Amino acid sequence: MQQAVADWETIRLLMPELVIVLAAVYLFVMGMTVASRGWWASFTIGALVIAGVTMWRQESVLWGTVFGNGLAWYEGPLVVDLFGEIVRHLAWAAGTLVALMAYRAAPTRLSPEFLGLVLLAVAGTMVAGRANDLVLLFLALELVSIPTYALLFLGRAGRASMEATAKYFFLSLLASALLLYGFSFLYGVAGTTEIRQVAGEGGIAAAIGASTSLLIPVAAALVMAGVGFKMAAVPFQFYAPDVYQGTSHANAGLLATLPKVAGVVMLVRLFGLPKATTTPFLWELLALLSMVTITFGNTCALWQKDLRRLMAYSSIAHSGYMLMGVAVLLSMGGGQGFGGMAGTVFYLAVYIPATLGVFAAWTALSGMGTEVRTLEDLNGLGLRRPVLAALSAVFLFSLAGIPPLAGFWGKLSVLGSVLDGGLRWAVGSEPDPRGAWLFAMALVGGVNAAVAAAYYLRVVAAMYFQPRHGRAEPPVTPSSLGPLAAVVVSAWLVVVFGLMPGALFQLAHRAEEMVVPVPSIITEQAENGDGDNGPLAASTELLDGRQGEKRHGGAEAAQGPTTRTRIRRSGDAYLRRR
Amino acid sequence: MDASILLVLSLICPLVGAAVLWVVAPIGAAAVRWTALGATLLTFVLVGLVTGQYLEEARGAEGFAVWEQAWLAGQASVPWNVHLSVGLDGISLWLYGLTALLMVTAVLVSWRAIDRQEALYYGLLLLLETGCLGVFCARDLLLFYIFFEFTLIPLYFLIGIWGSEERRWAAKKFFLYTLAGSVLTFLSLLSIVLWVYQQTGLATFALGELTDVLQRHPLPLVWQHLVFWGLFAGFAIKVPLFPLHTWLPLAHVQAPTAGSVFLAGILLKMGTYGFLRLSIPMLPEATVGAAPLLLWLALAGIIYGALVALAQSDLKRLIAYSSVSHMGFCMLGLFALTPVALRGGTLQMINHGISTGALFAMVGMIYERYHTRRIADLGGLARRLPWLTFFFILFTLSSVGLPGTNGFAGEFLILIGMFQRAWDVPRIVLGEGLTWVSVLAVTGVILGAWYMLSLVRRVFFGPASPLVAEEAGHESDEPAVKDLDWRERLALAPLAVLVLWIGVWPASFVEPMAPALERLSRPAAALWAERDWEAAHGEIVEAVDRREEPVAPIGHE
Repeated sequence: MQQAVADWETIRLLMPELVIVLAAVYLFVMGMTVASRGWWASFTIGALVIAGVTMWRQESVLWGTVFGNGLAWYEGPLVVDLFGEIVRHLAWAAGTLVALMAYRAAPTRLSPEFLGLVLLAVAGTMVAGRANDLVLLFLALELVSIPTYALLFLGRAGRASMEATAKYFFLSLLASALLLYGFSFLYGVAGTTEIRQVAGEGGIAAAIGASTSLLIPVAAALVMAGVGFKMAAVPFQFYAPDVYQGTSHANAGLLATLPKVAGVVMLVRLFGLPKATTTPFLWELLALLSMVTITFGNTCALWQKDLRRLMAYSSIAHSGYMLMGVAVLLSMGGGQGFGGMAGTVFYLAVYIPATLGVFAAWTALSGMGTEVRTLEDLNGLGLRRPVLAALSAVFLFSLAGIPPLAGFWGKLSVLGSVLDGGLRWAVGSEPDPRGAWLFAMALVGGVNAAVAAAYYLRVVAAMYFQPRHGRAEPPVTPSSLGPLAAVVVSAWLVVVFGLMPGALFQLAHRAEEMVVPVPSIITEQAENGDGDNGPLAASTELLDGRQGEKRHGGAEAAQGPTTRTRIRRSGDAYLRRR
Repeated sequence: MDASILLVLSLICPLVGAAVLWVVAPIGAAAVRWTALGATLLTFVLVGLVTGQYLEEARGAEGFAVWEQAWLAGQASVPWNVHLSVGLDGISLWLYGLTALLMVTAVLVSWRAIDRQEALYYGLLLLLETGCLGVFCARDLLLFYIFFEFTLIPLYFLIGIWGSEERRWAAKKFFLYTLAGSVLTFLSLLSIVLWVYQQTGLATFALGELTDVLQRHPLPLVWQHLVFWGLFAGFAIKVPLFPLHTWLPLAHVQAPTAGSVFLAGILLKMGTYGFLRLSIPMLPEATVGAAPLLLWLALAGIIYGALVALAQSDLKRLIAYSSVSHMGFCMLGLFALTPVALRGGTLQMINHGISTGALFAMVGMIYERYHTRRIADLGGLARRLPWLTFFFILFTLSSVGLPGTNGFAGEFLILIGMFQRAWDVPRIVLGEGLTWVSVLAVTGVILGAWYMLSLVRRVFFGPASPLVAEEAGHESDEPAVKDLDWRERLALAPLAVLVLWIGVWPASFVEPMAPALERLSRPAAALWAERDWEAAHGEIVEAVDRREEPVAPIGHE
């Protein structure tokens, strides 16, 4: 009986995803009845809006009971927490922007299939954000991957396109296999597929030091391979440029966003819990990969002439910044997150509209058979289409991290967390090599911000400084209003997040504090004999309670240090005891 | 009206002007120009009102016209507590005013020179104005950095779209060079904030608070040095300090006239302002440690800039290199760290903005008339263009530091301060090296007079060059090349007045800035004095020990 209720509850929680999947099924089944791209795109947008409304209605209830109190709620194979909620929103927003592009981008006859596949990938990412079970997580990730195989091939019969698809297909299969293999090790170590337990006390943490401890680096390496492929991080990045080049702008936009969200979800869910962050080697691996990925992506992007190859390398570099935030989270060895995870979440949230905005702008400029492919195709855009060019420049400057646009705050939150961790390790009583690692990361991340500006500027320079070319301009038809709407919405997001980053910032940090409770509070709670609430419940009191205010109040300068020192001491003690 | 409201209005006014430009753009270029001029004039009037109130009511106050609004509130585990916080003190007051004034000049000199995409051009100029005003009035570290970086975007487009032949390369080099430096500055800024937060629990980006905390609990020495050189990377490139100046001649020469005026007049000052506002007060030990090296670099810049300027055949390049030389004087003044030198250095920031800005504007005027910047193509302008000659010579004299002009006041104070630094110290210790710096710095003044006066001789006197003669000879009744018209004279007149005002009565500018300078430099200056004394003491004791005679203890003084 109990079980049956729980199942119903689970289904209710998955309502938005179900709406999206049902819409996708309808698209596949009824697609041949109406041959109108506009109609199906509108249908998809409608379905997404219904799913969105369902999601927000659910959320308004959950906010009162769960998120608002900093709680996480486990229901069947799902975990309901703020991080998952943010991931769902990101996936939903990315899907909506791609669907808007579809008014122009989708191949006319195959538009229902195109849109259905996009919807499935969105639903997959949304489920992954809430998965609390290795099996469900894997299924959700496959729900992201499999539609993309078909998407890449849809209506594009060129050799380059076929090569891209085949490459992506085989590599993706390999990555999925590696991931599954890694999951099997995790299952073997922990004896359960529930992620909370795998990553918690009884799982990875218990296995460290035991005879099974050698399995953990293996599992971590395999999972990292899967994540690396999803996020196009070094050394699994090499497919990205070819695949992006061989496909369409809308597909490239989808590939540059949803899989990255999924990769971050995997890292945070599997290794983000405090007990699991003691996983050996993993953080050094992540730190190294993040630095190499950023540098590699940016360096290679400098020479690209093909726009999508350029964006592919740029997306590789941005993956590196996302990994950097997670690396900070893991570097603390079960300590606080230091804003690392929040930085990554924030970075994703500002990266998605900027990247999709760029692709939407190029979609709007591409007519039938006259695709904007190379830098030269953009020559003189500043004169031909001043508004579109200006908005594209906004996206590119945001990706380059120039204030006051959203991307700047992304860089601030990631690099800030890296430096925060670095200073803590380096200045404390016992200097730790992790400090040096983190400073190296900050330096690499900072210098690369300047390198990245070089190739984004090339695109801007083509638009504004080059004389216009003689190519016929595709006319503005009703079908280009979709991508143009996507451009405007993205630009609005980039500018609003740039001028008013506060709300998103706080949301990201709350999400982090739910996933990674602040250790000092746990210690204090445990000392008070109030341990049976568990770490998640304990962390809530920090969020809303007096402590948080004391640390940040304006009048703190006078009386603050004592309170703070106490908190810090207990935090350090906690770290050291580990 | 309340001064803080006026300040905020003056900051927003250019933005509103840029928005209005968009609306009036379809009417025509004339409407765009007049709107831009109106917006800059209104901004200038607002700034003038704030300045007047400051001088009347709050002379020497630390924070005047402060306006504050929470922007990004911190969360339990992170120290991001950013405020939109603006206000002025005795130093920023003048730079703020100079920005507003030079922008009026920039709009006036662009009047005829810009003949395409006017709305975009003036819109970018106005955005640039807000960015620069923001840098000088920000009281929050992150806000400062945001404005500091934001100025790159409009200037990138200004150089890249309306510049001369090599504009694309110049725009890119300018952007990337300065960005590469300022990302390191960014990391340093974050380190400062995070360190303060970790040590004291104070989550703040407020400049005043951070300065206070860091003066009470200084950073450990190693970190001070790291952070100092990180800040240095961004600011020294902006100044530009030798040998990081290589972006400057290219950017100056390729930029449109208004771009050069603003680049020389305001953007370079952001570097020295950064040193003055952040490095010197927040990192006193590292400042004192690095000062001798920076003084040598400043000296190298003074002499190198002057020598290279001597060899130039292009008017604009010559003045660009003279900028390198003059900014060297500013750095010399700041890092000599004596009260007099600091005043001189800060005054020289304003002086350089006025005289070099005006010289660039005038090079633009010559170019509009003869379409050449080659010195060899010009000659004998004085007889044909008396007004132009008059203004050019006035600004030249200011630039070479003739007594009675502002340049003299600035350079004189810097040199006096530098000699004090060199000779106050017992010579055996640090004095020797710094003495050479101060003596050699004087040659910079002489070289400056040499290249500027020979420029004036070649361009304005002597026989008319073939080009000049031909242009004049086209129609004997009405010469094709006319002297300065009212618009151009109006653009230059306020700057000319300031040249003489500061020259005759520098105290009216130096006095209000003195308390702020004293506040910012106190820890570093005290530290240097103490170190000198200790070193001297050690030397004397050593000398005494060698003689193996008992000595009475030596007191301070």
